[in-house]
Amino acid sequence: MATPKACVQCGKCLDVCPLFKVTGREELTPRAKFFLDGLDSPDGLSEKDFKSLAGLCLGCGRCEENCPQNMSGPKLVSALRSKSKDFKQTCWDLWLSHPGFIWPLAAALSKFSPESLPEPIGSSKKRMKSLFAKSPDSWAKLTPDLKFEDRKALLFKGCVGNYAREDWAIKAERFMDGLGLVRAPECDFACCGSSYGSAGLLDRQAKAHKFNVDTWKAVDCPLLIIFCTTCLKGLKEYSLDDFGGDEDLFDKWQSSLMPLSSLLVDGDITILENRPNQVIYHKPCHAPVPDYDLQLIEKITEDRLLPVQKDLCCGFGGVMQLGAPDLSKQVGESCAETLTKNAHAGAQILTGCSACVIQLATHTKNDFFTGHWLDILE
Amino acid sequence: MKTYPDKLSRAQHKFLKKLFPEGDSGFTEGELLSCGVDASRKHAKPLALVKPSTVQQVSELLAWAQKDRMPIYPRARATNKVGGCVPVKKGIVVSMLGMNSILDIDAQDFVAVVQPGVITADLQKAVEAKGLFYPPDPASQKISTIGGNIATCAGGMRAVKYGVTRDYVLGLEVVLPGGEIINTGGRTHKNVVGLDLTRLMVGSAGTLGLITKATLKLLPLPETSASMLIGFKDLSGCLKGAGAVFGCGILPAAMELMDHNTLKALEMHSAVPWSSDTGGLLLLKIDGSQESVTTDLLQIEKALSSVITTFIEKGSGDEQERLWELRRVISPAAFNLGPDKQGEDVAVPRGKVAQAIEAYHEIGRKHGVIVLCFGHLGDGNIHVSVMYDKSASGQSESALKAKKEIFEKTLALGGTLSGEHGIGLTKADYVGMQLGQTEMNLMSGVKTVFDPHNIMNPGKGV
Repeated sequence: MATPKACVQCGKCLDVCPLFKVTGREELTPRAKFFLDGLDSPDGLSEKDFKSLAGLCLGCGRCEENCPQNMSGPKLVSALRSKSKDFKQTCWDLWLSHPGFIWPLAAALSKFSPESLPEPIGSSKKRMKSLFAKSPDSWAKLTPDLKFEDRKALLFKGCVGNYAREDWAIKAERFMDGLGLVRAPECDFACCGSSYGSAGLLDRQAKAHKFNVDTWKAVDCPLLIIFCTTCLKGLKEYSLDDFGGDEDLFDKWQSSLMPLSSLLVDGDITILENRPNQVIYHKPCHAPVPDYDLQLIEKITEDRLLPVQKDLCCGFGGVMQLGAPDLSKQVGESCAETLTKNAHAGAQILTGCSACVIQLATHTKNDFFTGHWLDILE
Repeated sequence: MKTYPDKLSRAQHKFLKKLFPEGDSGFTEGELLSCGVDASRKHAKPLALVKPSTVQQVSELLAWAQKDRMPIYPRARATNKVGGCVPVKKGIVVSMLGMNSILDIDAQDFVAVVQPGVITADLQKAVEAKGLFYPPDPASQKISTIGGNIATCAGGMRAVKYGVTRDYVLGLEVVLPGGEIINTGGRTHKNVVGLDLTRLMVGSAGTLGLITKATLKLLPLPETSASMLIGFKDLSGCLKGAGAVFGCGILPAAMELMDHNTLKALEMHSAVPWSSDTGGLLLLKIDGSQESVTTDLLQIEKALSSVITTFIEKGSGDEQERLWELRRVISPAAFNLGPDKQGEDVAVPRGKVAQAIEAYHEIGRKHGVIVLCFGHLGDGNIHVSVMYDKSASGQSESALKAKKEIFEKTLALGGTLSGEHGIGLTKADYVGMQLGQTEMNLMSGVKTVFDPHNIMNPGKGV
């Protein structure tokens, strides 16, 4: 008996879909997307209407984890977006492909954009400020445990670390030195590919994968140290095809991917006097299991960490920034409000995903600092 | 044959937009199609979707609907399996998800007052934080709402010891067709004044009125609980095991059965803890004080030593949830055995369970479809899922024949067509097999008193 996987309309995804939880709109749920996808004309939506509705997905992947049939909303949406590219995808492509040029330009222009304009312009000033933000004073000194001798490694800086927050990359490389890692010759990686994939820019994603694999091979396959949760997820998703079917190489890639926090979690920590009274950890949707970022933050913050809320999505959503900026904002504001519900002014929100940092810093009240955990380490 | 509006007039559209401004009403194809389907996978498209946040809005809506003879289809998370939410006569889908506040939890009165859109598990968490307990636990408790649970009189796994939803509903606020708001029952745990309208409402599947508030009975939270998953070689082993447990004088909070096909579906779904020679499982839970649970566990283990088991795993505290998650995913995991499902939730007198399950398997073999039996052994409510492939020639007909024979056998054993899912669309044609004409006439008369123009969830059986 044939048993293809299909959505059975059980509704388990409604419990985790951040778009549904914040908006209460059933038509945005993965359940609705799969239902509408399965309707034949003339019962269903027109192709155009279906694509524009089904395309509203933040790509968090929580539905797939919760689905008894392992149905993935983001995969359905990526496939749909890849079939018909539109202006928003072209813009997103430009944004990801030329960050060195476009990001500073957008930051300069955003200074003149009034907050009263509709999204994504309305919050662009704060968003670009968040992208190019500066760290506050650090409040924890971390001395890594010497773990390696003569092991070559490269930092995968990610787009944000490469083009906006070089200070994160500099700190991360200093920690790598402290761990005893030998830096492989400097080379530039492309985007990890995750954001291209969710936007349906699958050719771009394949090219980014190939470029990154070739770059890694050219410097003799060193360890890849990663400090952004979404980059880690993107790099983990490379398939055997990206390695021309070479299973050994593929295995080597998988075992070379190393979250920086996993190497720092047993380091020596000295807390400085300016540690805030309250710290909030935002767990990114793409946080790995185990979540070493959380372990590290728990160690640094001790009893000052507020209870961690594990089911909040920041609402960044990649191309949704352009495709449905109002929805992204609505989810972002709700996330920021929930995170800071029991927090006093001066509390700091820390996370391990570059996109979450930017999104939350954009939508959190100015009473709170939002940053990467690298921001507060000395 | 009653006719209902085929489309909204301009005035009707305007009325709804005014009563439910901004995002609280929906008229786009995407919104309408998405709110016309439920876990039965049956679907229809309504004329409008509205999302009330106050009882006054519901009252105005039902006054208007009565006047315009407009069908009203209450809806929340739409997790029911019988098509209870499907707007087969178009009309207006009323999503109660926005009315989702827990209004009161009172440890003195042992009651909670809630709006219908509260997720059952959220209520349970909230009352447990105060040392209280709301026992009804349908498998969908994490994703279904109190309103839906009341409308369907949801059962659950703890029913064997604690009963079902109707045993915990003390009072209801209901809006009737025409807009009048009534209050049935109250905060007292006993109440014999007048006919029991509360019980009439519970399980009426939105055909009499629209529930906007519920007062629920709470119990003290048992100090602790423990669970045991016990493997047997086959079904008869399971039933001997169950007999041994009940025989030692302990009433488990839950006693679930899974047959060999259920095990197969779960094995295909995720890693399972049982050994390969296991052909049937019992999953049971006991609760009470730390002392009594420890003693009960020992006694159950002793009782089980008289039967042959293949595997035993125990769990307590949060760790036992792992075992219960296996039970909760059966329904979706069943699709590993076939792309289409015809799910029945018959119940038979407790002493007839073995006979019933053997007969259901025989019916499956006869018609060439896969029959899974699992569910609430403790109270005789057996979920019988017929898995088939409607794209294969003759399978749909075989599944339907199997359904009818399953019902015939169930009734012959003194059982009922539905223990907890209800009738809705999928079983509407079979109600006459169980109910006599006089009983049906009485029910129809009651319906007419409440809903003279048949605007509440029309097209469904109850």
